[in-house]
Amino acid sequence: MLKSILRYIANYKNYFVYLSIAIISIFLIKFNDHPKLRQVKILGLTNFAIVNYSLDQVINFFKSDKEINALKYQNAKLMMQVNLLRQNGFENKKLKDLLNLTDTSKFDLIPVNIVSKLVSRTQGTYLLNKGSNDSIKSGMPVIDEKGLVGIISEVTSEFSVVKTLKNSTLSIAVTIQRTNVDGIMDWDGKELIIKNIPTTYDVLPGDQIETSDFSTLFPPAVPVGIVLEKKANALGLLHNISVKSSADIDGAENLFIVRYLSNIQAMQIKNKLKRSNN
Amino acid sequence: MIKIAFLKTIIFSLILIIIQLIVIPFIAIENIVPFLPILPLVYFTLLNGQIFGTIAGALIGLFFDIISGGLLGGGVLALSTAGFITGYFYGENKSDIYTRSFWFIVYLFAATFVYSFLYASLSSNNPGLSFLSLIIFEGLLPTVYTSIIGTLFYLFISKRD
Repeated sequence: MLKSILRYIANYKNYFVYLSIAIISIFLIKFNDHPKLRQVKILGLTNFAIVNYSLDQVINFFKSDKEINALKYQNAKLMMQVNLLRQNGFENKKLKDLLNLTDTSKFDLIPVNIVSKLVSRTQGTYLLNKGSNDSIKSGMPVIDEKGLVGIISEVTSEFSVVKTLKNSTLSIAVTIQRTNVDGIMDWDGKELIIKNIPTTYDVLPGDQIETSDFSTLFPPAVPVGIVLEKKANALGLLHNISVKSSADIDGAENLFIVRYLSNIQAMQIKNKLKRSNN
Repeated sequence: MIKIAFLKTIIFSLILIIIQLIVIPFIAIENIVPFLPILPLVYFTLLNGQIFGTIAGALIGLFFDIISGGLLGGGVLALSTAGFITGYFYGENKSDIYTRSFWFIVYLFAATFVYSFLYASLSSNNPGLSFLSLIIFEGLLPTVYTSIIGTLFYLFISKRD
């Protein structure tokens, strides 16, 4: 009996090898966010990031871009401030004063360079040259001088991974600035899209889109993009909005991490409310 | 002999993974890039057989997943499947014909298509992504791009002989 089983396995060993690997990889996919698997990923990422970074330094040896980086840094800071001012400035300020919330224009920006890029139509992921040693934490937003690029998903001591807007696993709560229409923006593999917006809502091509006040991931009023076009769905009651990102995501080189953690802020507000109730 | 081939496959693939992540993004066309680490996998699988291809594919996939920061396990399954499929074209006495003829491009095309389609399907959790879009944009276009690069590799090998 055992012999015949062994003979059977020997005859079809290629299938058994493939099946075993397939089962292992399905387990890996299933438990992708398990802390131990994340540790393995971070360990590998750190080692190879050092190699990538060294190569990148060699490639950039002849580039003298210190001044350009400084200007980009200044631009990014100004962009954040201008957009905040644009957004119903006066009334908003009043409300903020009443609630004693933090001012988003005062967010600290950490300049970073891209070490490597995983370019795929569904999984935009970049490796950045700063990590927890520079107090970068998972969940911090990443911008360039024009707008939002993505969010930090993994952090090692020296490096961090950013999930870009062109990653189908990232959904963002956004607002159309002119009319305050809220929606969820996704990357569908071809374009950035806000789905199921009622046709009665006033949305025009060229309208500015920014992160929403309701976003649990990003600070409010960070420019995301502009409306490209509206496409009515089959019934004609709702439409999908195509968005052109403000940030140059594909051509990005120098980025900025916004020192902002949404959960911490939420906790602070909760504590304040608790204190005021008591 | 197989051990050396295995080592060669892994070393070449590791170098190509680093190139894939640092240099290849510069030649991306509308987010479509060739996938270089599959070249040594297909080449050495045609020389060494199906089990070789399946295991080597899994290892290259694991390295790629870890280094790229992508979905862990996605590359393992996609590349081991590509290696497994390529293994069907292995012939003990025909390896030289397969690797040094135009058939190499055909096998590379098939393996890359399987890889690209599977990897995109596994790593994308967007229900809005249609099957047709997965086939054409995620499967076919990167495959064509990789095959063009593969043709240059094939010309290099055939000229060297």
